[in-house]
Amino acid sequence: MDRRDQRDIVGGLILVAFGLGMAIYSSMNYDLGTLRRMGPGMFPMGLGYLLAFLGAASLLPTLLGKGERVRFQPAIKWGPAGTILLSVAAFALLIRPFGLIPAILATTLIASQAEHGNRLWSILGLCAFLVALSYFLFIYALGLPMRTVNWPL
Amino acid sequence: MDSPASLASNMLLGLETALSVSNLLYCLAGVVLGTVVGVLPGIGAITAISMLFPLTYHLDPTSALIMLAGIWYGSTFGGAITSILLNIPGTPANAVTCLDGYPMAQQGRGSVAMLAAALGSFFGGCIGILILMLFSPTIAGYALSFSSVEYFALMVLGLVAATTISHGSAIKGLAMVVLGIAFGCVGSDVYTGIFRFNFGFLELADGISLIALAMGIFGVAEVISSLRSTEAKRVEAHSVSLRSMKPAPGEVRRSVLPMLRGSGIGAIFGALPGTGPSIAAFMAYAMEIRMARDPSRFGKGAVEGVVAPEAANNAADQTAFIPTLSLGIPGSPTMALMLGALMIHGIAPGPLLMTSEPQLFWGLVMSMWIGSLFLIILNIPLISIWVRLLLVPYRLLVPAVIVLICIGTYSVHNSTFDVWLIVFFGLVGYAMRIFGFPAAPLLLGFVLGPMMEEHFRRAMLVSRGDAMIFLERPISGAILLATAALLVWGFWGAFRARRSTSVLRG
Repeated sequence: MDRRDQRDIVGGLILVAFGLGMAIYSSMNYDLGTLRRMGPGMFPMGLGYLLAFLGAASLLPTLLGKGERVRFQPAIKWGPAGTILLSVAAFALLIRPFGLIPAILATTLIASQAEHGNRLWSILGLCAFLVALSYFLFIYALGLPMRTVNWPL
Repeated sequence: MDSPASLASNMLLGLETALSVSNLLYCLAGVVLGTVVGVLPGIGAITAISMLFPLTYHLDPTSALIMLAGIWYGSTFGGAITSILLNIPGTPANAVTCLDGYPMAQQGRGSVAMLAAALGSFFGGCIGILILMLFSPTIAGYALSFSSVEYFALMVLGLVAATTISHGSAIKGLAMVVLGIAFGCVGSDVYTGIFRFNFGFLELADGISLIALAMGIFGVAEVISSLRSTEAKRVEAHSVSLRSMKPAPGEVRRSVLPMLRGSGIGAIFGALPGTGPSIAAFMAYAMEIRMARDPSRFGKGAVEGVVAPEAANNAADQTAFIPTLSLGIPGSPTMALMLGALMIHGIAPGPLLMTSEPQLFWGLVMSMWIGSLFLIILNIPLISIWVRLLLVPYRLLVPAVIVLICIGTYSVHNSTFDVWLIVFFGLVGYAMRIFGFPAAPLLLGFVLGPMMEEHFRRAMLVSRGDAMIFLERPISGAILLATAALLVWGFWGAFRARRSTSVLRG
């Protein structure tokens, strides 16, 4: 069993857990009703079991040793992935209290770290371009009610 | 098929809608943006459409659809440029174009290849639009007699077809469909209004935002997985000009039949659920090799190998709208987003759409003719502008895409919650890539899920709880039989082709 197989097994197990969790959660929290008059819980419960079944079925080829050997397996890029997600989170955190421009600046600065080779001046140029573009598109053209800069303190 | 008179009056109505100044502008904006994202590798039509999806919130639905459609077929049109010049497919649908387009560019005949791609795309697009115009009303008319039973069966068929045909593992694809339907359950229940799976978040009362989900799974996850993998290649922007587009003797004559065959194949595969422009282009290329007197020319710069797949993928782009607009059943995630754009504006997709919103359907169709004309102008006389776009490094595109995704999503409801949802779905989408689960079925399931549940529950109510009704009704029984056959074929095919997938992908 090599690393490829382990990844398939983890993926399948997550689905099984998620499916069972969903089925149990919906049968405990929502009215199932009858087959004729289904309550809000019936359909999601069925889905949960189906998902768990499919997750288990996706494990089978690997467990039986007949896994897809030649498939392309992407490497896990923790750093870039974390950086990009952090840049989106920064936008979510800053847009309300500080306004559009600080949020754009923070997101651009963080996201530009995800790829190698960005020089400071090109990042600053990009910041200026994105602020101008967003201002024109979203505030001037579409007239959205967003504050551009705000100092909450 | 419609009577010629009603077709003509519908076309007039559509032309009137499409030729209004604002719709012309949105059409132009769509195809220009489409060309841009087509040319830029790493950003596909789905990323671009999910990025611009929030904008359509502020437009009227016809203009929104005209623009989104322009992005969709424009990206396939423009993607050929990158395939030919850099040997990197601009969009997945242009992957086959690399095989003969890049050798042509290496022989110094890149301009000829781009002319061939543009003309093939235009011709294929036209055939696709014609088929869309002629067949959608018939199919919609036929579907008017469908009840919930048939609809549920059709949706099952659509989802199963979408997962078994085009993706590696049928089981993984199906699992993602179910996961998508599960995400679709979040929000208030259609019959009782009870909140399901909202875990205390009032923001989830209307369900998960389609925009945030699409942005996370396609936008953010796509960006993450193409980070640090696209190597920079240099293009010589000066080598492309209108003057160098003169084809060699005999090339025009040799291109005519491949163009026709490619368009035909594309029109068929575009309309079928599950297949789409990528598969259509691949099939058209395979067909040309089989038809050729001297197959060894392919892969070394044969013009047929550019014309046929480009005609096919553009024809498929247009006919993909047939099931989406006549039945309300999208065959690909992009089409699911188109439906989403309609639903946001309160327009119910389905066979009634064409009769209740004729100016929308016919306006869209007629705008496609105009968009194709725009594209021919953009891609032949103005080609050198797009080639320069390839000089923009991907590392600068990444922050721009992320910023636009964030503002776009936030702008829809002024909701930071939706931006947090992007983070969540970006994580989910990236995890799916790592574990080898396809993303497209999830979005399809998410869009169709709530409708499926409604039809399923209504059908069970009518049949008094007897699930056999789905098999007893002739149409739905036949559809489900076809679904079962597809499933068997999918599993058998996956089993058989396990070791040959690497060969296919080259």
